[in-house]
Amino acid sequence: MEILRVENLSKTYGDGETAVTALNHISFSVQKGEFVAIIGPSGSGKSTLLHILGGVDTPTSGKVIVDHTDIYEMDETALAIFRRRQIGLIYQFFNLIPVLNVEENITLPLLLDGREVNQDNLTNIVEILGLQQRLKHLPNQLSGGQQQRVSIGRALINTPAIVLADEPTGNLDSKNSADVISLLKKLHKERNQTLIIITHDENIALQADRIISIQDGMISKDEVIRR
Amino acid sequence: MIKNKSIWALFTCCAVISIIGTSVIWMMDWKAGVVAFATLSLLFLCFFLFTLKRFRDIKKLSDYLASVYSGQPTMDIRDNREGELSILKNDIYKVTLTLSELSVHLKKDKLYLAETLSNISHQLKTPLTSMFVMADLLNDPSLPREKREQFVGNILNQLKRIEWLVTSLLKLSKIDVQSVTFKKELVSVKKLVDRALEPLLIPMELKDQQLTMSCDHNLMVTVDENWTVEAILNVIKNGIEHTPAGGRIAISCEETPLYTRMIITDSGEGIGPEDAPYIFERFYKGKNSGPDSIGIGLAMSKSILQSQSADIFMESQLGVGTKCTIKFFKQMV
Repeated sequence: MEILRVENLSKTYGDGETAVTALNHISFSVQKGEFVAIIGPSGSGKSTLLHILGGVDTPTSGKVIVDHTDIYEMDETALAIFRRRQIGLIYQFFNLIPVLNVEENITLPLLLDGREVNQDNLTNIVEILGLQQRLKHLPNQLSGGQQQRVSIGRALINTPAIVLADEPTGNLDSKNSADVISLLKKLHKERNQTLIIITHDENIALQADRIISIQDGMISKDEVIRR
Repeated sequence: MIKNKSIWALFTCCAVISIIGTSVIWMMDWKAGVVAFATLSLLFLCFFLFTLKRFRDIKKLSDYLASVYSGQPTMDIRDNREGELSILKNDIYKVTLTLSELSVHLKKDKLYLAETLSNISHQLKTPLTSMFVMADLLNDPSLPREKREQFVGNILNQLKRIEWLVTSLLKLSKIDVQSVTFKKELVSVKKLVDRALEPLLIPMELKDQQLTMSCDHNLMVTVDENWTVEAILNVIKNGIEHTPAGGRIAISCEETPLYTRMIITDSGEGIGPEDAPYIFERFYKGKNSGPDSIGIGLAMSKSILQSQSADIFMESQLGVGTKCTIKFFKQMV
């Protein structure tokens, strides 16, 4: 089942002589439960792509269809609500809220929706992430790897249709990187979670089921390495 | 909504309170009474309309669930608004979607199981039939001695084939349910190849095939030795079977920053483009497969390798030969 389809996506920054084409007519689709890595050198347009997939940036032209919904046909409010219910984002620099503790950070998307926290689901996620002992800590009392795990929890609490990760290990040492990646793999397997991860590290990309290489705003290679 | 008792109770309560209130005000001053009556009537109308709308929304959801229940495809009922009803719609959508996806998976699994069963029975049936025939022939007391020996030999061959099939299937199913724990042993690639070649040297000699090997003894990988030897053995065996007498088999190993690669090439008949995508599928038999082929050796190799962060790829050119690459990815996670 198709969960994400990108049609003829282009993004140009600036105009006239200073125009920079970050994405140049990109099309691809992702099935539910796939683990896709998008790789490319810096400046290739991969982060722009992820931001557009996540509904954080708007494309110049083209469509992004997440779970049968064209996300750029919606108005701002609907998009914001759609985003917090259907898309989980993981950033390189965690983007946790410093004044909220771990539990509050993880359940933030639920609180924004004005709904109760399902304790079973929370316990389940916290256990997978290995954060049982850290629930009441503030982000600055945690190591980088732990902070990234909190942000993974935050991305998953709403059982989103897709999880997008932008260089999730870019700010971590190799040991913590390995932990975070194996965690993402485990979540992908156990919850059949669709996962799109952006990286410039080929070692990490090789953990995925499929690698899409981007160069100069275009897809240069799209290969399935595991089925 | 009309049948809903709680709504009636609410309406009656409100009506009684407003009638009492209006009458009291009416008695104080009839003009104020008229105003109060009008205001309350309007409030009633608003209240009624809003309740009606809410109930309609709920009814829509229940209609939607009924249609999903009766097997209609799920449709998008999310409206991406704030509020409990919108959250409910969103959650119902997610649940129905997950359920329909599960049912698709189940159907696929069922189909796969049926196919596998029919494949296995087919594979068992052929040797059984031939053994029946031979047992029948053996029954004849006047059968000459050399004929008898030939038939018994045939039966033994068929039995060996069945035994191989059954053990392989058992191994495969063990890998499938992940009850095999693959050990993590540091082994040299050369040792793996040597062990895999051991039982194959005689068939190669019989077919007068040339073997060239260039594997550095110091090249190490972390895998389960016995299982990996089996995987490599199946691949080389496949190459030998599809290479004519006097052909060449070459094995080479090299290391890249990401993986250690083993390349096994043969100068055989090659795999046609119509077969190429399926050669690793269970029970798949290509155009060129031998009469005794079952189509399980390569499938098993792939299962074994993929279970231990390795993978296998095949490229082939008809009439030129086949190149099989096994990649052992360097352990990162």
